[in-house]
Amino acid sequence: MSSMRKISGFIISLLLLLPLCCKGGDTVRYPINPMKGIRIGVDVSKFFLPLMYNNERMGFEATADMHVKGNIFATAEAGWLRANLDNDTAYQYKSNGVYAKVGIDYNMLKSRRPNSNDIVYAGFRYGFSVFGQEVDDVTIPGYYWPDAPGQSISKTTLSAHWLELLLGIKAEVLKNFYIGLTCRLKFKIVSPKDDYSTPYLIPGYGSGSSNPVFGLNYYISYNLKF
Amino acid sequence: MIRSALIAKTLMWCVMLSFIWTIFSCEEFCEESNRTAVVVNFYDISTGAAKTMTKMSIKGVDNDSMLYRKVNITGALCPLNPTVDVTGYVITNDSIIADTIIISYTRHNGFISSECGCVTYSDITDVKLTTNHSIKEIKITNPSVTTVSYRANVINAENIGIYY
Repeated sequence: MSSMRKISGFIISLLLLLPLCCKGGDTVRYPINPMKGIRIGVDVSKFFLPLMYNNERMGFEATADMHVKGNIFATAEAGWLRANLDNDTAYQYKSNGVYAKVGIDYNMLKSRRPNSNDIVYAGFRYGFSVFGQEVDDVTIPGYYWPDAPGQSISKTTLSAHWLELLLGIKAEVLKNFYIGLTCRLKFKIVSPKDDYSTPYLIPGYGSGSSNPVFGLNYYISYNLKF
Repeated sequence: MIRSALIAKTLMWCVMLSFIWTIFSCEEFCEESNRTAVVVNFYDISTGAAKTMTKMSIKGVDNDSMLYRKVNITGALCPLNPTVDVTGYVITNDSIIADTIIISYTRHNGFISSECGCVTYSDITDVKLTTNHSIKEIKITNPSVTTVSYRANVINAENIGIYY
């Protein structure tokens, strides 16, 4: 049910982006400028995580991309994510980890003005994360038996691998400054191996119990030319 | 031209922001089982077929309350004490003579989800029958005690078979 919601979310985002790349007409179209140098940026949505999740999540993500040739860009993202779930009565869950993604973006936009650096793209990523999790102050409900307070789940280090399909835009709003957004559908290919626990969050991926996962990023980037 | 494109982009940004907000603000609750119990089934030792217990009562050793007092059941869900590694049950059929079984196990805590919290899984190492008035034999079919469904129409995977 929730994965249906995520897939429909992805499709709606796709439809929102569609007019940008596929608007018909008789206007002259220009190919995009081959971008020089490297474009580096941060995912600004990560700064709002503590606000959106009651200080339960904190994270940072940096991105970089380079023009390879024609409409092809090589892209990488890297970041870290911390989660701290405090359920006073039942448990205190902590996880902390890093992730990296590499992949290709393919520009689908032919601009209406010459020398445009804006791109609308489809792409894919391979993602990888290493993270640790532990649970303290656990009270196991006994139901028929007495509750078991003061339990814990010792720290384990886990890893996960996944693939992403994505759609995005990058628009040059000021000289060399870009805003961009991507919407992604992430497919877990290797789940974290833990016999007893399901990770709450896989950094860079999302909910540890869902597959696929829908994700959004909002980037602010700067084009360093060299 | 550039300005209108910028406005269009900003608008889309806002649409997307509100969209993400609606996705994440959906209220979540525990949808899966977070209760573990030993799944016990009753059998007839001579035929090996499932046995319907006409009048069954099950009570934990050192526990004042009754776990089961039911008629015509073929199985039971018996939770293990999460504070210790041994749980005993007094099983009485037809209110005649009680038998006591002692289950020994190792415990492993696990995290299910933010909504469902944590749970203690167990691996049964031994089941002892301290008296065999009416119970003839006990077989461990699957030592790993995991989450079970308490819904009437769900058949949980058996842990222990009790033969009468």
